Amino acid sequence: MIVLVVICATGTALAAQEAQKADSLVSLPYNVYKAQDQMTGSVHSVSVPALQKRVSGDLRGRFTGLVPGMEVIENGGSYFSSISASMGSYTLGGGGYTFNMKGLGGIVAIVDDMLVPYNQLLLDPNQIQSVTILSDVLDKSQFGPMGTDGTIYIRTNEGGYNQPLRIRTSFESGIRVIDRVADWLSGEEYAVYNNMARTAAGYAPLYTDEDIEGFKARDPYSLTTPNVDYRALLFKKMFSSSNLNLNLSAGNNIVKYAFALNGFNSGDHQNGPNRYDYNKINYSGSVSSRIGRYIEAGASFIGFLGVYRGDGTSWHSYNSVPGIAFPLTLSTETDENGDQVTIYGVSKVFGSNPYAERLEGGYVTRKARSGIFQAHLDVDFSWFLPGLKSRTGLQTNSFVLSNIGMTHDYLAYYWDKEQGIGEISSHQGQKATSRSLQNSTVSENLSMYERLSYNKSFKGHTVDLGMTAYLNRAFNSSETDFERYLFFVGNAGWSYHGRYAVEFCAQYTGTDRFAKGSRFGFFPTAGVSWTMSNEEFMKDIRWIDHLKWHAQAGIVPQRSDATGSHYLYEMVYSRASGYTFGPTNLGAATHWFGNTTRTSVNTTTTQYGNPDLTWSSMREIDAGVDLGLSGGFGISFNYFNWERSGSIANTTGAMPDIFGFSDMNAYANYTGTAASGFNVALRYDRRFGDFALHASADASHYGIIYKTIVSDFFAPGNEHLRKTGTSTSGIWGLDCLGRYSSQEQIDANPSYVEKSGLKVGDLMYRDVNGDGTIDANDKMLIGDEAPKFSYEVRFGFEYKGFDFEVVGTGRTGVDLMKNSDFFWNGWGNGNYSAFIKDPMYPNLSYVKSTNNFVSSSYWLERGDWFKIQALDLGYTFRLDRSLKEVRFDIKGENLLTLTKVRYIDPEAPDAGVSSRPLLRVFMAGITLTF
Amino acid sequence: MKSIIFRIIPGAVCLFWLACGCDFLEPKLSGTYNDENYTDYPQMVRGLVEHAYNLRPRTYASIRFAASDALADNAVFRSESNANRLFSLGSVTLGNSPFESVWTNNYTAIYYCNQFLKDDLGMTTHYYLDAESDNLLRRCLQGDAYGLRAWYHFSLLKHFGGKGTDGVLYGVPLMTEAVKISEADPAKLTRATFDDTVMQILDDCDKAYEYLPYLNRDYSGNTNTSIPVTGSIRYTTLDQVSIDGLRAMVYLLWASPAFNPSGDKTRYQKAAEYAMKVIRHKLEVEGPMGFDRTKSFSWRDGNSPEAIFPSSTYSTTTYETTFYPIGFGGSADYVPTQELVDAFPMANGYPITDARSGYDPAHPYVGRDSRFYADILYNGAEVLRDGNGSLMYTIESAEGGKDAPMLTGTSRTSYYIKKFLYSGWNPFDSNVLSNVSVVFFERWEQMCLIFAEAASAFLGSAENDSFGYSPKEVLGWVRSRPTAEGKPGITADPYLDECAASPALFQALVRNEWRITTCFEGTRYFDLRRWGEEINVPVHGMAITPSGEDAFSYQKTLLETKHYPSPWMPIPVGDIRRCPNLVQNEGWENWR
Repeated sequence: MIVLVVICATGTALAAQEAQKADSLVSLPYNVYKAQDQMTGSVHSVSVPALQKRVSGDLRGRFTGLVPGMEVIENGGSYFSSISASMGSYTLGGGGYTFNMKGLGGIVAIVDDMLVPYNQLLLDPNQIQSVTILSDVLDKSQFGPMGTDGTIYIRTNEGGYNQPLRIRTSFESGIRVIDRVADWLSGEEYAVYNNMARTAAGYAPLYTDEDIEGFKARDPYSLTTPNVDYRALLFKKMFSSSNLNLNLSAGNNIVKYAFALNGFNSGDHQNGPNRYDYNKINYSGSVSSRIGRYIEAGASFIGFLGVYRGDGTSWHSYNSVPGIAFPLTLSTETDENGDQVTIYGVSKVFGSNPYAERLEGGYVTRKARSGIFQAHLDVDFSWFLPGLKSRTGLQTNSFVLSNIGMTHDYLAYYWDKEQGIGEISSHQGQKATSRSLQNSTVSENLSMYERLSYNKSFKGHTVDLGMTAYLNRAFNSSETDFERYLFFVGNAGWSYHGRYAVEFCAQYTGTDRFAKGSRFGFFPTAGVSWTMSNEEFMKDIRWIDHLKWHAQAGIVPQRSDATGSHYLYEMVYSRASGYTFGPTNLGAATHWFGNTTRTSVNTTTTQYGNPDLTWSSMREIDAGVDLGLSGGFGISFNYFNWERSGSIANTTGAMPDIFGFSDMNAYANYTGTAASGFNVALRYDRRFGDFALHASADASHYGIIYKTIVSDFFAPGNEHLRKTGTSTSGIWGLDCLGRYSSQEQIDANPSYVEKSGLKVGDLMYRDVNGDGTIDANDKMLIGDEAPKFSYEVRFGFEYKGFDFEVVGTGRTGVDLMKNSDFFWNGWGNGNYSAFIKDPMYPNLSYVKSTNNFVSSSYWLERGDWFKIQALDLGYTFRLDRSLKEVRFDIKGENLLTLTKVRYIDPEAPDAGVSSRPLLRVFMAGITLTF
Repeated sequence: MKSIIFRIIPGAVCLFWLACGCDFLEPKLSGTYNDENYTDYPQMVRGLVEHAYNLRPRTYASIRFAASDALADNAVFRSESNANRLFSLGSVTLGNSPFESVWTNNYTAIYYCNQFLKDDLGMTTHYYLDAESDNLLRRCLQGDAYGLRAWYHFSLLKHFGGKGTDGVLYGVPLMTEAVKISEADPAKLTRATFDDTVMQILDDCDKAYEYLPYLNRDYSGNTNTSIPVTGSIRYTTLDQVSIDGLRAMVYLLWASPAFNPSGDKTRYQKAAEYAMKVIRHKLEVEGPMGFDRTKSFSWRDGNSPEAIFPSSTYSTTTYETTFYPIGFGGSADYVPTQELVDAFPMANGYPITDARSGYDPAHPYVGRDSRFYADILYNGAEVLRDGNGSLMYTIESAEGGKDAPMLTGTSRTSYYIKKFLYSGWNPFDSNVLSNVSVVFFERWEQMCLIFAEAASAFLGSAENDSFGYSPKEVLGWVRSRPTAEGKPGITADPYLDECAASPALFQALVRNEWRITTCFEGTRYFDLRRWGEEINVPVHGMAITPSGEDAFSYQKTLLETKHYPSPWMPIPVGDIRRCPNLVQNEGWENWR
């Protein structure tokens, strides 16, 4: 129903035949194009130019803010994660981006009708012809079990018949600047706070006033008072990146073709002797040809090559070592070969030197290669039965990741404040290992499908019938068996005069994950719509341009069932070698009683098979209304409700340990969740002479609750701990009443720890179950990690040659649990974070307070935020030559964050703490179109 | 022509799909052992029992043994935020109890024993063609399954037995059948009473005794045949001797004041009888083979004659990295208290509180019992290398010293554990050596102590030798034993004579001997509980201040006072929640 965006409709001969309203055409699976009026779901098309105006190195990031109801969350600043994502996994790993639509995170990408794992989805927008987002139940069911959580349906560029040669080339370059980074204390501050912490806990301070004065000199090589700023030493604040794109497409009466080549180069924020960079090349080619009147055959190839060069160190390794732990280096020596050897400092408490690891720790080169080959054969059977067509498709893709590197040890001695250099440490400087293959993964995937379709229009009626069979076989080097599934989809649609539409879609789906007899499931869906604005009686209502009511309902399988473990239905016993029985040969053993031994066998039941295991299902209802007003205003509202039942879960957790099952797995169709929510979207599109304006905003709300969950048992009196019926993203913790203000208050109230361990200023909790003590049974639902609303706003205009667009996204009503290392630290030795200077930090103590550092409402904060995610300003010279257009633009990403959250990034709370910080990007580019 | 092709294509496509559909989804054979085939493999059947054996712990450096002394008054945890330390001080996190893994581990082991015993699986499996060996092995494994079931239930009883919230003295749920997961009903699980648990354990001991060979050693009475089935190949597993040892331990626990409300003296008698049976075996059967009660033994020798029921072994540096101070490559995770140090007598056998002992508070580490020097590292103690005796490290725990209390990675008491340490280990060696780790679940000195405690309690006299040896004589063997370092024990022992004359004094002496002889072996905490002694006691460290050249002044400092809501351990809260009819132990009413 969303009609905001124009489809980039280059060369769609078939589309042209079927088009009723060109701007409402939607690309659907198996090369089907349908008018919006014939559809009963809420589909959304994304314009390719909109994607091109973004700078993200990862295609997923470019979707931010473009699709109403689809949230794109950035988890960390490493866009390399897309090449190290786990193989065979069709959902996202940590890092990179996470999609969320209707509370479902397993949104897949389908490229030219085939599922492509995100680790291979390294397309550049110029390789793409159209993008369609499908989120309603019937629409998703067309992909069998794959698209159940939602689908990003991409058709790649294939040129057009009788299309003159088009060439587009662009170059852009700019910088990536580190955004918010959690700060840790400087060396001298650490010494002061460490002394305070020790004093508070009854320990003698470690650092004298003279020491602290010495640290202030910030001499990293001082043998008495060293003080190193590791972050400044090891990480840059910014680095450059650039990319170059070229694509061309053309066609004559018989052949059409397209070609694209993209190069991307980026530096890295690591500082050191190695090369730290990332380069990728991305290329694609497609050719299709008509063979006679009834046949078209086509093939395409999409290739990718990525190389990351760096070392094995992680972003946060330096955080754990205070700057004053030891000098960077202690001395240099000449070894037996006459080479200069640096001796690094370490201490007995801090055994590793981050600087030495960076300088001498070796290197790593990570290469990823991906190839996707597709072929299709279309046959038009209109000579046999007008409207009957067939499409046969095949896709094979492979992905190879190799990680070659060398790890090296360095020579370090324990630093001794008195003597300078102490004993040799465990880093003894061996040239530890030679270069080796540290990791390699291969995955390959083969899909085939056959679709017969029939389409007929008569007297205002349009009938669509389709039948698809699809099979998929995948393999990856971490598994011992192939993954296989197949499904048959039948769909039928009828529409009348663009007013009424009815659709049915049913799938019969099988997977190799279940026992024979339980492998297949049948899942029907149906949809209806009424485009009221096409009715005669509405023709006179001028101010309504478009009004459509639509609904879909049905049952679909859960994709995770087809990607989980094999053989869960079988009882599995495993056998392993156990310890040796008989006298030992180790150590100074005396064989005074014989010497026969036996290597024992460990037989374990690793799995309790469940032959009844089968598909879990998701029942979903979607309904909505779409209203367009004549002034350029539009509004749409979509409601959804789904319930998943019988999700496969390991149920041994429901069994007492007394039975002895605790180290076994026993899977069953067990877990259930349910959700409902809505999305409301507003838009305004208007042209005033040379000035064209577009603006849109949308907001989504949803909630997911547990219906059934393993191990949700609580004794009478503690039923409030039951998770059934509560939010799946709920945050559980103690209810903090504030901080103790007096000793009397400590004495008078029940406490979480022994009262002698409490001080004024420590946290006080509520006795929720009223049993006179405070313990884990007093936990309650204190917050929710899922936002009440997530929203997106977009604004842009065009004026003569200028064009401008800005996109912002945000969340509101979201709770943030501040329990990362950045907030929970300040005891023992090890660097302290800047947060301990915050008045909110509870009592500083060298001994970790188990009272204060537990999950409680004290650590909860409203994590609302709004970000300017993207901005683009361009100017286009339109020329009347072979060079048709020249466009200059400047653009940025992640430009501004509005939030009350301090220190960390609320969108990615771990970024800059335990994972790489997010990046703020500024780019300038030029695009030439021939 | 064209039309024929076009008719064939769709037909072929349809046929292709039909053909694929048939077995496309049939996975490759998994090749795993399953219900149909696993009993065809005798090794798999045998592996059920052997897996149960392999679930036994193998190191003293864990909460099951050495660290459990820090739950009592022998030691403290170094880290003040250690979860087990907080547990012992009453600042407990619900669900976070020290022995939860014992519960899970033991019931898992019991499941495998039951799986083996189910449908006489073990007795109907054929292991060897040779009928005699086959029969012998079947009997051994059957005995193992019963014996292990007794052993693991006993361990559960020792850890979790206690008075329930309803006032009943409970043992633990008895699992004598492998339940199918589809038929498992948590509501049926209840705790047996303490007495019923003991009866079940003893019953399993009887069955095990019936099947097991006498001794897992190659010895003259071994009836081993051509295929080695019994004898040393079974060393580290159960035999009749270790079952007798287990019975002695069970009866002693059952006879102890906390679990013997009726004061039934025959339990002591049984404990003494079984302990004496083992003692006699050691002296009479193993004596000629190489056991000598007057010789020292090494904690790091997996084949030590001291052993009656040893664990499996492995090579490790865990003890050294756990016990030594940070300056010598360790983390001092738990450290001895002043109370334990004070419990060691002087070399002349008198306790330091006795005027005749010659104890000098100004020189507290001079002239002590040699076990003190073998078990504790104190200020000024030297760590000498195994073999050549070269000095590797000197403990400096006086104020200003590198191992002084309250620095990072140093003891809070100024003492460190020395027992079990391998002195060939040095963190600064380029090739750091490791040595074998073994746990003696039953050992000689322990049997002597069981006998001394049980027999004297039953007889009311330490000098009565109606069991063959008198309690006094047997306790004397322990006190006079040379230490692991080869230093002589208490040879002339007037204090033992003095105590033997008074049953009360003798009981107190036996209890102190338990404390120091088996320190860090995981007995102290359980002994205090079974004796009904106070476990909520203060523990101290020593603040040592230099006062001139090689002179120090000593000040006892209070470190913490143990604070448990009851002497009993909580039943793991997860199982309390899942089993509606499981009674929690007294003091842990909130753990549900």
